[in-house]
Amino acid sequence: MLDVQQPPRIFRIEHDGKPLDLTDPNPAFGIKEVIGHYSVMYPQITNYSAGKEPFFENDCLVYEINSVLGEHS
Amino acid sequence: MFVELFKRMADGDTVTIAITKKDALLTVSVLPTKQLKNVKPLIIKSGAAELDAGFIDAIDKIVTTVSEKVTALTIENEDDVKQSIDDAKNNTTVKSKTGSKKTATEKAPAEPKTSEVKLTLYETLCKDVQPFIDAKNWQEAISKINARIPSLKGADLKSAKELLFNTQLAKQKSMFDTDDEADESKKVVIPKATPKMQPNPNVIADKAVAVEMPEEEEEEIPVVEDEEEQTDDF
Repeated sequence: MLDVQQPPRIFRIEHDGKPLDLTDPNPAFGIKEVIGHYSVMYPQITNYSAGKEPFFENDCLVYEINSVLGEHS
Repeated sequence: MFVELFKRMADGDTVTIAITKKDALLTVSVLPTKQLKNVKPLIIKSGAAELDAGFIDAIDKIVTTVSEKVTALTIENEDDVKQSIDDAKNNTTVKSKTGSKKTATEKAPAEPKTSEVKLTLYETLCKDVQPFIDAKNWQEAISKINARIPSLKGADLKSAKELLFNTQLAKQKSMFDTDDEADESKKVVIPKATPKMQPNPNVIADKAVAVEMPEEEEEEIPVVEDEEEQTDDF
């Protein structure tokens, strides 16, 4: 039997001009829930748009969150 | 919980806690500091009761370590501030070489304050009276001393009375001595030679010098043309 595993997620944001990879707080969270959870600490990610596709990096699924206000990825 | 958090937090720092409920579990993210850059949040996922019991213990090490690093950061800043102060001092010393007058004037006001505090009343009296004594204006000096004496007490009064006595004595002496004689008495006087007419022993010599020497007649040297003629003569 094949063992299907969900790859771990990484949420990449821009913080202080540098990329910061945030750990997945809960695999059961959707993207919006993750954004809502982390936006308390990083308000710049509030304007995330679901249009940008995630990509694989080092066996992890990376979600890049655009932190520029007013722009939708 | 907040009492325990309070003990572990660095002064002026902010701990951010985000709690999300999902499927009977609480996902708690703790960002232990805002002062340190690129610090990732601590994530705890558990039930509510377990979190009440063990939340502080779970974040204890992280929060304590962060607060130590935050306080360490301020100490490093103090070193930077001290360095900047030293640089500023060096800049002022460089400027002082070009504009030394400014620094001298800046320092000068501090000194007279300390000296004024140390001077006694008698010393200030001496300071005021000394110019008149140097100028030998005895009457003015005496009147100044007499004006100050009523305000003096104890040792200052005794010293002022002695000064008054000495000034009056100097005044009495000056009435008998003139300025020229007083000066001469202090100086070593070399007696002046009285000009007298004396015979000049060198008169003959002068005359001899004055006499013109007769001119010596030049002997004519015979011109010898041939050598043979000379041998014959000798």
